[in-house]
Amino acid sequence: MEVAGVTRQFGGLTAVNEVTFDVEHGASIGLIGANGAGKTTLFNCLTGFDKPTSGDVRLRGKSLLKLPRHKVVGSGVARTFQIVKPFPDLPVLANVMVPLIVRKTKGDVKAQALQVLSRVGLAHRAASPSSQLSEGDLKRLEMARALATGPELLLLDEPFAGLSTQEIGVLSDTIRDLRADGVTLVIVEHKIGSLLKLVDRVIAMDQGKVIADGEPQAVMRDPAVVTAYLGGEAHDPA
Amino acid sequence: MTETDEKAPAPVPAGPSTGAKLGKRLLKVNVILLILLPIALLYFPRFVDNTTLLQVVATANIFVMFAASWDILSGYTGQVNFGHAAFIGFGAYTVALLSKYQPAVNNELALLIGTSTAALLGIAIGVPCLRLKGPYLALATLSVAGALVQLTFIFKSQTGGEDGLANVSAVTEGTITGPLGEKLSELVLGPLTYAGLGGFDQYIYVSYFVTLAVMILMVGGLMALGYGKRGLVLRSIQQDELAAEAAGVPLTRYKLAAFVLSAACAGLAGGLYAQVRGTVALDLLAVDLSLLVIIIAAFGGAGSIIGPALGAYAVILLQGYYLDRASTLFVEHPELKLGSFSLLLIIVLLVQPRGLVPPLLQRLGGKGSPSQAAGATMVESGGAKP
Repeated sequence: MEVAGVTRQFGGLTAVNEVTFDVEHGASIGLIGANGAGKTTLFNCLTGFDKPTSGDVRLRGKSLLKLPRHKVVGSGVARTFQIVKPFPDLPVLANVMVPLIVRKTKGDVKAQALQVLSRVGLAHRAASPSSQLSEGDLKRLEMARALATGPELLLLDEPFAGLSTQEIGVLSDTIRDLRADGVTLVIVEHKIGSLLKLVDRVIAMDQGKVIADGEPQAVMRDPAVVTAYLGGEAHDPA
Repeated sequence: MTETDEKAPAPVPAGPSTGAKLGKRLLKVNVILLILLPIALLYFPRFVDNTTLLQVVATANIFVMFAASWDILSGYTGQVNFGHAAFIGFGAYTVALLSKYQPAVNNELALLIGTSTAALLGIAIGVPCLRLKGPYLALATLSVAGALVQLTFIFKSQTGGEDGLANVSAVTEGTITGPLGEKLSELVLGPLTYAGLGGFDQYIYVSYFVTLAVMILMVGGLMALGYGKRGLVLRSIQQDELAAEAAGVPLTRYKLAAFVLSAACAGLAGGLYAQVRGTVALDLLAVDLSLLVIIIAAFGGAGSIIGPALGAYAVILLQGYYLDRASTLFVEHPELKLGSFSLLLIIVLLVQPRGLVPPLLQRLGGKGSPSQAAGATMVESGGAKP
């Protein structure tokens, strides 16, 4: 995915300002920044849930901006929501079946959905109503439903928010497995320590702009990042 | 459960056994509903020698279609239509106007045209309503039905205004429906008994069987859709539109398709109602009818097709038959009926927010809601239990 000069203005406020970066196939990128840095707005622009005021978002050279949301998903860009959005009255399995059905996948949709669920370690809850899941399991369900769309690129919006340390550990393992499977990941996350274990590149944002982009260690030591995001204290990612 | 459990490899169901077990599981209750119920309704007239009651059940057959067609849009996608009477009345008036101005058009073609025009109205209303939600959608749909009422006044000389139109080509005059109704009457009652009936009684029997046949086809079709994969997608829209989009659901296409299907089914039912009653009037476009359909659907359990269908029998039988016999109060003040149903609905929904039928079916061991039919059953048969 190529992000080219994406700007998003709300009235006089520029939430995202001329953001440019590439996401290579198979990469795992962390997107960090303080509250209000523009991460979520950028995230929405990348996934078709918001339209940039200017700039372009391309996948394999084709602009995604003119596409309706379901076509962005169909072209291989899937997302999760920070505040999980399950289909609460549907069983876990049915949640994951929906994307498979609209993709018109061949074969047994239920078996495929169950396979996706087992990828995120949720197969044992397949028959439960999703309203009965714990927060950690709901995050997994979000991921499973996104994975079921068959993404080339999966964007996770604060997957660790609201989870206990233990839950974060388990979910991290799941994310690592996805990475090992070759899923390209962009992860917006505040919990830097947990995030850094999962990514091989970090993009830091402040006031709508990218202030650093590169190796996690290097970005965390970048003076601009330290000042803007970490309140002046050097952060030891280990 | 422990965290390590969650990492354990999940049992993936073995191919062929899954389908068989799923079938058995679903069969349990659905056999009763989908096979025995139609048969019971088919043979009902043989054992009930009461044409008044039969006439009410024939009306109920029509209302089953009103409620089920409402449900595929509102119950399934969550776009609550407060003006379903617009589609019903549009179909009915189309059939009545054709009967008046184009008497050469046979009944079935008239029904087809009524269905199509209602579907077109569905597109006309559905497109602008795509962006509306909740109370705004309710107001928009409500006002369309209101506008149609006004139209009948503007074109009073054609539509009859308040008086409506009489002498709609009767169901017995249909080239398919007439013989079909007679055949079924002879089959169920015996040819001699049917032949010995008076003309009006014959008419009631034919109406009963024709409405029953169309109802079974429509409800069967809507259930097949609703309990299948497409129904699951419709339900996902009702659950969370943003999440559905993130799952790749083409919202516009599904919502509009539901709108059009709902409108077409309502138009067909409305047109058939016109042929059964022989008249159309403003009650077929009125807010009261729209509300009654919603009451029926919520009472039976919206989002399940079968719930609103059974709800229609309960409400119409009460309204058209049993209440009148229970108390003279309802005979003297028929307007009390809608009020009583509203009250009854409030009580039912306080006790059972999902309506009466889906929880009942679940208790019987089946799967009341389509989502559960689609999701849970297969997993249980696959060996993974929560």
